[in-house]
Amino acid sequence: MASKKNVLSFQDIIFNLQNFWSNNNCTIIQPIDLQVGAGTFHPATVLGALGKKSRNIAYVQPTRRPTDGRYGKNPNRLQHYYQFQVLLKPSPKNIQSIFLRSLKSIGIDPKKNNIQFKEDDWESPTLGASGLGWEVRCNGMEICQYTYFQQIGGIECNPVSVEITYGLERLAMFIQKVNNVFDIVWNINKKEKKIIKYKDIYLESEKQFSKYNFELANTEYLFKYFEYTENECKELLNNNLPLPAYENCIKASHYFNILDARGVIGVTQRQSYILKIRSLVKSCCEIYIKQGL
Amino acid sequence: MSELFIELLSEEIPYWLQKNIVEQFKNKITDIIIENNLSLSKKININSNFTPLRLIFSCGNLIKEQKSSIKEIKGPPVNAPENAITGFLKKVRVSKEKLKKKKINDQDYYFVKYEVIGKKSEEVIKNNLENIITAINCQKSMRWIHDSFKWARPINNILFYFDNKFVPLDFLETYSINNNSFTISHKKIGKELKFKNFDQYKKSLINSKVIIEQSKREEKIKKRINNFCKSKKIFLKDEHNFLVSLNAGLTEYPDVLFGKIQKDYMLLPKEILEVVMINDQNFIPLFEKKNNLSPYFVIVGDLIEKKLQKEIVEDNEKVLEARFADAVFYWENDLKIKLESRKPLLSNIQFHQKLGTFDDKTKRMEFFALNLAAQLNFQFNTSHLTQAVKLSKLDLTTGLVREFPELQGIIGGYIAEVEKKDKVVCLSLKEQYLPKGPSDLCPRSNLSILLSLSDKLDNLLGFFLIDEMPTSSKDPYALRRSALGILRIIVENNLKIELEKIFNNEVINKYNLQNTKNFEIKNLIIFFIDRFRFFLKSITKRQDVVNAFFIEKYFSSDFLTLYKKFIALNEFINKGEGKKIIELNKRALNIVTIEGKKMEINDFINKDLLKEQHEKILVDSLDKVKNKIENEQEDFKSVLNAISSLYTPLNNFFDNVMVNVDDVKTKSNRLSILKKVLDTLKVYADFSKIQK
Repeated sequence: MASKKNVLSFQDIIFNLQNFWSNNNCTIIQPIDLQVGAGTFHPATVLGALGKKSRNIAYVQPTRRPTDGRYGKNPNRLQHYYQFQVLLKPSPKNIQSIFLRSLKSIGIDPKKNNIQFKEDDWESPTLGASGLGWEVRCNGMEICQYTYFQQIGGIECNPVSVEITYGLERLAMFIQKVNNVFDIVWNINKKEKKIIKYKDIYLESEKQFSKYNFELANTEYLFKYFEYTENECKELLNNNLPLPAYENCIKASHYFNILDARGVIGVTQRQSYILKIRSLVKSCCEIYIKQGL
Repeated sequence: MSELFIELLSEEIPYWLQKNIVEQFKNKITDIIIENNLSLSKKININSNFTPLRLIFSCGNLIKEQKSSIKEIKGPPVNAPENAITGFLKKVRVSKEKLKKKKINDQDYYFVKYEVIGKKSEEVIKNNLENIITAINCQKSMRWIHDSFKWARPINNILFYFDNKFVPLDFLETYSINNNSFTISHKKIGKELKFKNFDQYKKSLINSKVIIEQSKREEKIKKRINNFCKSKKIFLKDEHNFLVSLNAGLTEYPDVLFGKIQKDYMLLPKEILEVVMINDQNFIPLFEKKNNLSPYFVIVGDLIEKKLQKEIVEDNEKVLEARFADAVFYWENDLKIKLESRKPLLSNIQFHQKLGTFDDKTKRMEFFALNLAAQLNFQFNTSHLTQAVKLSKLDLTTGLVREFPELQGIIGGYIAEVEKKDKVVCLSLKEQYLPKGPSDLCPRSNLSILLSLSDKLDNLLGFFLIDEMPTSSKDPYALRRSALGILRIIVENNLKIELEKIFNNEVINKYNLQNTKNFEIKNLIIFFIDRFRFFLKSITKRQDVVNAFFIEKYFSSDFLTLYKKFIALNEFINKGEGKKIIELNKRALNIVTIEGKKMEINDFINKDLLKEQHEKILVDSLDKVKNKIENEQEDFKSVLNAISSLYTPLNNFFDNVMVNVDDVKTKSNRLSILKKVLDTLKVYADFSKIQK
């Protein structure tokens, strides 16, 4: 393990990526203040990738995957983690080499590591979205997704955006050479000579949320929440308000994810829930486009 | 002679697509060269290569410029109405004075002659490149900058050299593709490379660590693996050669590293280790004697400096271990719940909306299995069979199968082993999905055969019943693979089954379907026949023999007998013994076809009209042969020999008996004899379809 005091901390990795992309034509925006299953759900990406206007943004997005929780016991799995998300529209010609330089900014020299682009075509059934691209592996570990959006909300993306998603915990584990996600150095407080680790911030919450997601989440309420948000979304769409309507899609999707973690959704039911969300997202996208925002 | 050379540089193209695109590209350029006479030699040999980032084409002996030629267009007759002549003039855009006259069959016609000026070869190719590139079918394709142009992955640059000279391609700008005259080295070297021709190009790439030949990259990997294996006394399985090719297709300069699996993980079922290594990481597992998995595996990197290798191996091992740790977590969890007590969970998993849950499926499978066992007269323990069927799908409820779906069946088998179930039962659970692909082994033990057949038969009948048959482009439930699997199991295990009897009403009722009015059992059997033809063609490579054998669409559903009958024919033909039959078939066919146009030929032979000795003998032998063809069920070689034996009587007939006699009744009767020869042969095969 590299000496803890010199290692690039989790927050440094975020700072460096923000600086890098800021220097490469991006506006650094902030996360959406809702529980999402992936950085892609941020309206700046889903709605931003639609329409003709160019858009270059980057942001950190806290992400929730209730089924991936392991009560803080698994060294690689979390129900809450971070993604760093970049969206470039239209896709720049030399995007791959810019991307490789971004890795260098966080201490991963593509010339000194084995960087592989493994075919991985992306699809999000709930968003009605798809794209072609790769997962990027560094010495065998998946650290990023790199996708050319083709469709969102069932609408063809034109111009095409390129989306880069960095898995921040994976990157940090690789950069800091630690084997357990909870051992990631989050911050080195030089003044107080203190090291703050990932576990200091998130171990307890992993334990509590795993218990909530798997054991205690009230499924009866959740089914109702789902219905309420679905209805609210429809109502908002009737009033031509695609932005708040879309936020209700995000909420519905999260309720669905917890229900899934509770294991109360059967296979067919599962499909029908996904379809419900997808058709709402689709309507949001269509109205959004119509408004020419 | 001039040289053509094209390089197309792109972002990483998936391995499975590389060769396919290269072939399409190559064929299209070849067509352009042939259509436009750009080569003096008849055989156009385009040298093509690829890496994940490049498609490369070169061709040596092209002409620099097309030859000019005179072209002639025929017009209307000289005495044709005026408007026909004006129309022609308009079409060829010349004035009437320039028309020439020429006599054909005593009639004067107008002609136009003009000179076609030869174009420069580079112009011809250049003008066709846009069409070639846009016409390539990439199966899965994408847009990136241009708003409608789709390709496999974004193209960065295309360069075209002709005769040692860079030829700019103007159309590329529309697609936002670069048209640089240079290429790039290996990404890790990061240089721009300049050159004048293909030879220089190749040399500069090799110097900057790009091996453009897939075969050489494969060789490099193999050589390193072999050396390592020798030192450790381990080996690479032949069935894993595809991983060598895959890794060669993912790198421009493969460097081979070796990792090692920690002892603790070697205790996991070896299939789990293999699946994680192969499917997740593209690692290549290595084996010890008796096909035991060794702890060593191969990592193929792209240009890795020696001093970095150790660290990169360690990183890769760490990733693998994290995945193994996950597998251990599931494995230990899965063992906590007994297989049998998973049954209620199974009724939560849907097989198909209309076909019920997996629990429903296993009930039908049991019915199939018992029916099959009865038809096949299998000796086995019935309680083993019912147990195997009941356990067969339970592993779908385990965490491991959810995480590694390709291990369905195998996991169930392992859990059953831990739970000390009978060995044959465990084996059948593991083998129930075999054969998964054409190179996969078929199950051999009775129990495995029954389980595998009933799983697949249920798939086929079920989806046909609900009208979800595969279409030419879509087969979402992999029914083709299921049918092929059934046929292979039947043939390789010598199983005499009449499928039509298996698909009876009693089993159809088990599906509890309201509406099956679109279902016809005949269609299902025809689907099998279709797969069977495909299978026989792939093992014999004789499309003509397959076509000759399957003249009808519909046959008996006893595929073992069909198989024996077909193979006998194929061997007969391949050994040259078929020549006589083919020849006599041809002679008889000629006469019957010609005379058949003039008069109707009866199927009935009037024996009273037989006068000559040789026609009597022929009719006699025909009856015997026909009888033999229709009744022999095992020894098809003897049937073919009997057919061959018609050669002499038929020859004698041709030599000694006149068909074309004045007496119409006799003539007609003799034609009927020949028709019967043809019809008799056709009971076995249509010999006119066989090529030699």
